[in-house]
Amino acid sequence: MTTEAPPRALPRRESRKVAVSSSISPTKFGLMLVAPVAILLLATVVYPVLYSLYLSVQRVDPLTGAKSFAGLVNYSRALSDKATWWSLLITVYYTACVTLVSTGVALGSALILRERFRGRAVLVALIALPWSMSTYAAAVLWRYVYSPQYGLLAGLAERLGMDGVDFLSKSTVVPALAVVHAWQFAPLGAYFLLATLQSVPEDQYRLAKIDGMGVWLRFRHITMPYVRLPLAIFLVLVAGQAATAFDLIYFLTSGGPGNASRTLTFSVYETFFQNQEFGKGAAQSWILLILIIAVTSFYYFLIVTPRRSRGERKNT
Amino acid sequence: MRSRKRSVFIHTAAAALLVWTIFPIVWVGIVSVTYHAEFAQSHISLLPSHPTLSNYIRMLGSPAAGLDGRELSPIGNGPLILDGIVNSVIVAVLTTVIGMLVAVPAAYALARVAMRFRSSSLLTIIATRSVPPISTAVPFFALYNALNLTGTRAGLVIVHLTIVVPLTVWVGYSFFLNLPPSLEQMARVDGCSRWSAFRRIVLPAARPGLMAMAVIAFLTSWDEFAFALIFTTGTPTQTFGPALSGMFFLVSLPNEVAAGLVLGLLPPMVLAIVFSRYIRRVNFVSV
Amino acid sequence: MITGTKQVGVRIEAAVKSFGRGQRAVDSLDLDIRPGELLTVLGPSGSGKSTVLSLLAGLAEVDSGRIWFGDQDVTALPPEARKIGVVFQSAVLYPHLSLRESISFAPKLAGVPRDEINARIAEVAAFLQISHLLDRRPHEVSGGERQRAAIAKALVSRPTLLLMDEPFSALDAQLRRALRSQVVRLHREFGATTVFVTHDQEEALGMGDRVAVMRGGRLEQVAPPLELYRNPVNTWVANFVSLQPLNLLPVEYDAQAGEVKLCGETVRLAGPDRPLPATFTLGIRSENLRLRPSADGPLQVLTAEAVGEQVKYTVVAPDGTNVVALGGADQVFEPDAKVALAVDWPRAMVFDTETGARIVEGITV
Repeated sequence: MTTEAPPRALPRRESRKVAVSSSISPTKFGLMLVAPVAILLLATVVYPVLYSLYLSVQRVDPLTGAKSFAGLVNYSRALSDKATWWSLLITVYYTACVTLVSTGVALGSALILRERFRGRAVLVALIALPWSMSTYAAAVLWRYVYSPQYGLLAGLAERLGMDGVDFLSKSTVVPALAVVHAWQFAPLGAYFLLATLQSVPEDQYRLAKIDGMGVWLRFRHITMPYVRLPLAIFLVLVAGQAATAFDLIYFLTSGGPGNASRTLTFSVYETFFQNQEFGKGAAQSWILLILIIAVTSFYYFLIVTPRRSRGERKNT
Repeated sequence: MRSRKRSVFIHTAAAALLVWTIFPIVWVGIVSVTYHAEFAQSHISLLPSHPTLSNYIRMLGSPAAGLDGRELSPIGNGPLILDGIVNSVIVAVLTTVIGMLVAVPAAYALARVAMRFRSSSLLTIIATRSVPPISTAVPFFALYNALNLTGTRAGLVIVHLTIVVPLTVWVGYSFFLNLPPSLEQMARVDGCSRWSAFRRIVLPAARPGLMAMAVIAFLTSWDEFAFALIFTTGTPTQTFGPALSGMFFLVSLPNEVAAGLVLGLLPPMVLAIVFSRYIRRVNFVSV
Repeated sequence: MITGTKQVGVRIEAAVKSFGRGQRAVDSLDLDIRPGELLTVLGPSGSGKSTVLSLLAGLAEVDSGRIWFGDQDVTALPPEARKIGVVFQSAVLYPHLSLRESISFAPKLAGVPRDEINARIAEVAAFLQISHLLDRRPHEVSGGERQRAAIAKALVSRPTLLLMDEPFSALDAQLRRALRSQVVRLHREFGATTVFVTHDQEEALGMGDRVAVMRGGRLEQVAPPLELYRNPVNTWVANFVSLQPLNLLPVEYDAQAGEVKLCGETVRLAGPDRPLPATFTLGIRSENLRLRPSADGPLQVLTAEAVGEQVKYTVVAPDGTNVVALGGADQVFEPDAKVALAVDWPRAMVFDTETGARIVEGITV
């Protein structure tokens, strides 16, 4: 053992300069790692968004592709077009239906899966199936459920001696599509809500029973306060999904019958790629984007923000 | 008495949930093993009396015997469906590899490097996810026509990256966040530089998270339809989605389409089952 | 002691470190750590004690000031060049490696020959009783075993300075006590200068050769445990290092008569070593305060709680002040009993009421 002189006996001298190999600044190191993503997203998201903004104020000749500045003409054409408003209406209707059905199914599934029964673990795993498959595959799958010619429901109706119903007819097409959307998307919400429900202390329910609360009151005063925030987040996700749904509608109805399921997203697709009206399509897509931002931030500020800040205050 | 009623109710509800979840899938499975001849009778047969793999055999390019014993020729769209599956795999693998190379360092930096602009970078990256693909479709379409990228795998991989990268950054972010807090500090005390701590310690320690990121990247690319439809329909690089669409909207027999659909469901499902222990650890709300 | 261990003194000079919006985590800190000593750094959360450790480890750089290891200025030296071992709060072992691989990672990187590494691991692991666990992964062993492996990892590079950042705070009380004595024995065995950061008074006073008490980024006092306990520099330190409740009682002093008035009683002093102000604060720990029966009070027992073989009494003075005293099982007071205080005057501390600073050490009656 060697003992070096205690530091108090030290002469003050200049420190030796030492090359510090590993000490590049954390910000520099971090930005270096983030740079590839930044470049990629700049090129593939920011550029297209700006380009579509540019397109939306251009008049594009469908034959030659020549462009000229058109101001807000495309927007006014899009907005004065009854079809745009119809699509907007359908989009809102569809979004509302999907939100309602998805929330119901998700909450219902979570409440069932919270209980103990034989095969619960298998069922928990199985409900991931719809969510894990492609949306277009789910759409084709449900074609086999809804089809009046070869559909499962028609087949069952026939067995029961009833007339087959065409679920994809004008009056029922939007709710029918929403059911498919919910079938695919609700498992996500179910998992999310299940995790929350399992964190509710069992003692709260015991206490409530002692207090004489019935099933509904227990749900209302214990379950709901716990699931409100996760439910709100799920609603935001579902609404965003529903408002931009494309695959489902393309496969199941292509916007029909007539224009009964022609949502804004589908209308943008048709305007662009079938009618080749680039300017108007771009304008429509901007209306859609603004709608989505509005809906998302509405939910966010109404439900998520105040809850979260309240929660934070409680923690400090 | 009350608890018995309750138990009956719960089991009934669970059964309903099971039926709701798997019946559409089971039904398509049934349709795919039913002869068209039996299926096309006046009644919709719910259970085939002569289950058969002939639809699959014919989809894979061989003739097979029909219900009446006569030979049926291979399905015309079969090669397109099979090519579509191959193309989807190629595109998904490329997207996964490139996406991981880009997303992993970024997710790591955002989760664990005490850098400035951290939360703003994270928010910006996540915010790009709320841009609906249809809004970027036309600019890409115009750009791709100019650069001759339409109908190329590279073109589709690039648009898939725009969807996959923000998603995997977000998934990876939460994984890296959950590693032990002093991991890099320990590595530095042990003599690693920032970079070698990342490479030698953090990456191996985060292996389960990286697996989950990769699987999600693959599945997301596989599932994407709109861009694939716009950019690859009718080209040699057509992926499975548009190929299925092509077959579906042609006058095709439902039993044959069902076989094609089931074939296309297999790769992602096998992947999801094989790697389910990694996927289960993802915070699905973020996805 | 293990041969070849170099003991080094550490000196922190006028160190300043701020984070974020100019909050100073460490504010002009001077601290000498003697070669081979086990210094515990004690402070509440946010006192800057963990920052001191980061500065010593080289994981954070000082804004100004210097750090010396022996006669070497290490201020700008990266962690790997400082010859230190660190044990973090969360028992950092590499989750993807076996304990053996984790422990040997640093010496391997430093190019220590394989035989040498194996010999060192065998020695350290035997001492820490983890030899049978070396081929397991961190998640396959218990929290205490993980923490012992983390200590082994820190020791295996033969550090001249061992830094421990609240290593036991996530463990249960019994395990903490066992590990505490193990670290003390280990320090004796391996001899490296050790800095042990903790917020637990019992741990700091029980383990340290000396204890450095920190508060708000500043050093309040450095002293051996007993001295710290008997002669804290101010009321805050006195209170913070107390294991039992500390009474801080207002006292009036009549210099002419040489008498103090305490909770309605008048006590004659044999004389303080230094002049006392007319009013001051008397700090007296409950274990240095007994009760005696007294028919006319002036205090009254409020509650009596059993603490092992002793009883903790809360009594109330005529002016409403609550006083906490410990009593033996030999004399038990019922609630509402009238009592008087029996102060162990040499153990009493005299503080300035305004500043809280200690004025004199003990009083003779």
